Amino acid sequence: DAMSFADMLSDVQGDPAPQEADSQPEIQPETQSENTREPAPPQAAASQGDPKPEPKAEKADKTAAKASATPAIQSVRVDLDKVDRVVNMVGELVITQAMLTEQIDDRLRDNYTDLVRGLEVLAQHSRSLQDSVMAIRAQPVKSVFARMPRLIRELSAQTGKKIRLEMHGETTEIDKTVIEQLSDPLTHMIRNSADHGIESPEARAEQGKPEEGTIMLSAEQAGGKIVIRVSDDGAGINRKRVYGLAVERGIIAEDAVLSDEDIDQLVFAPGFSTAESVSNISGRGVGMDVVRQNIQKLGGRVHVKSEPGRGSSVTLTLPLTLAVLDVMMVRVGEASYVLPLGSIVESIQMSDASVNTLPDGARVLQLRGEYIQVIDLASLFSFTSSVPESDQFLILCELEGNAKIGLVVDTILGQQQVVIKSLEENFARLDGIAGATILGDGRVALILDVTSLKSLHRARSGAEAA
Amino acid sequence: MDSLAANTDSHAHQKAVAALDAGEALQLISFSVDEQYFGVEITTVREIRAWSDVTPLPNTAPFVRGVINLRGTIVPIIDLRTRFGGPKTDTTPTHVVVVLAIGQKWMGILVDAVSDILTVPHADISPVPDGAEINGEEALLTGIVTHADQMVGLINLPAVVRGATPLN
Repeated sequence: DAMSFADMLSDVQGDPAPQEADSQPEIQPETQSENTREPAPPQAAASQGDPKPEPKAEKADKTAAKASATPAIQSVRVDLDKVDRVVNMVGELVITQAMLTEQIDDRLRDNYTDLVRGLEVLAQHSRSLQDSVMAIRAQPVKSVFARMPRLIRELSAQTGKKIRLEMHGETTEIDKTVIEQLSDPLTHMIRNSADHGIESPEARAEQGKPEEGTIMLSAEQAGGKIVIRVSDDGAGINRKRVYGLAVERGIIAEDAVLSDEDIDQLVFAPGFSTAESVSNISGRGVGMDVVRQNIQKLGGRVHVKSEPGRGSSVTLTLPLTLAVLDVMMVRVGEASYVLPLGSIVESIQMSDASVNTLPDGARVLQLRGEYIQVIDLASLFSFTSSVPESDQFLILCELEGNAKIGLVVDTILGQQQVVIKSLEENFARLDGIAGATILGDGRVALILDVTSLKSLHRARSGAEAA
Repeated sequence: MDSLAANTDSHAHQKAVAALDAGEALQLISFSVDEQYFGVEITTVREIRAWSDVTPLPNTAPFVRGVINLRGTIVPIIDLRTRFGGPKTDTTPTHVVVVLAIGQKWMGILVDAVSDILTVPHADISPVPDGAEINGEEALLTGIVTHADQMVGLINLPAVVRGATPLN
């Protein structure tokens, strides 16, 4: 039925969303010839479980290869459920393939060279398949970023301030489900910068700044995560005001002593929304605390950095869903844990490390002139170490905001790739844990989140002290 | 005598099926912890499996034993004995995990054994007596029913699960 197919095709072309690589070679012949193999148009075929595996694979191949720009981008609408199922199956495939690879030992290598070679090739194919599948669900952030220039123009007009928007990394790809949820938080963050960050042209001129303020929106992939940043060259966070409001709202005690950085993060505290954010411009008082909750629901994190007079920047860190993460596996007591490789700076044998214990029991590593907090994972997870301290390893990790922390583990088991499984799906988000993965033997291993391990440690030390 | 009993049984069975169809009864799976019996609606049960090792989770309530891999999904396991105020279950391969769907989430509860499938008319379900809360928490049971001389407590699943989210 060529007529309805053409309707569907134009319908699909109107859809701004998926930018999958062109599938022209498959679609055009069918448009032209009425005698297609299937009576239903390809779209319906997709819903019926795709009787033609090759074009799909070809399409995925092209997506993975990122075919050079073609004038018209063809796409096919597919139920996200079906994509999810494929994504899950590929995840399972990766786990099984990893388990098989784990079985390869010298004996196998010597006596079954062909088998071993086959497994190695299988590993390569699995990796390509993962990339292709991830690419299917991934979309450039452009679709969300595209709405921002207009927002800036509106804000500029509303506030009477001169504001310019700079965007970077619009082609960075994120999973479709995550992108849709980014629009609100980004909009709010930009409104915040326009409202509270950028000063009036006069105030800026007085400070020797260009009259036009700049808000920069950027996206990039770093360390297995997506990092999106909204920064401005405005006034920075008014720490006195934030502190005062936090006390007023009972978020902190009157005499609480906080570092500048801690004060900055108060803007995310539940119930913080300042009176200004309930202004006409920022809408219904959405507040940065809601932004944080929404980002956390996506399994991500928000962080703000501010320099009075120079500006501030809010950073969103989001996981790549169905990430195949490069990790280091470590043993702590009887359990195995997994650390994202992107967070690891280096590993040091404890016998080579100068670790001192402070009067309050805290341990610090002295390294190249820096003093770095040390957390003993065995005591954090209530295990007894199976090796003496001198045989243990200290893994030096980098947190968000460039701080460092040292984690003490019993043994380093090696590097590998794992598929991230959600802990939140059936349970909840836990401090210190980024997710879980299934090892080759079927057991679950927890993926550690270095940044929130600090919070977990703090909570546990607090609980013990109490 | 036997045939009389058989007739009575099948009659009771027919009544039960009729009541179910009419929406006047519930079908439950009951299980035991020590000598106490508990039940959940059969529609919530996804799977019943033998106990297998869990991966413990840090900083969670004591009755959260940890998580297991259920065909690729991470599912938390709650120790029902502990949840109802008892000690941590000394697990053996004969212990049972009943995997339930509670809202959008799946959770497993660790019990001693699965007992029976019963059809219970709504009318036979008694409310939980006052003061049945444990530790001042909300009631963990939604009702009580007597079946074959046994008291079966109907589990308030959302309440049992609610206490499982992390300590702050």
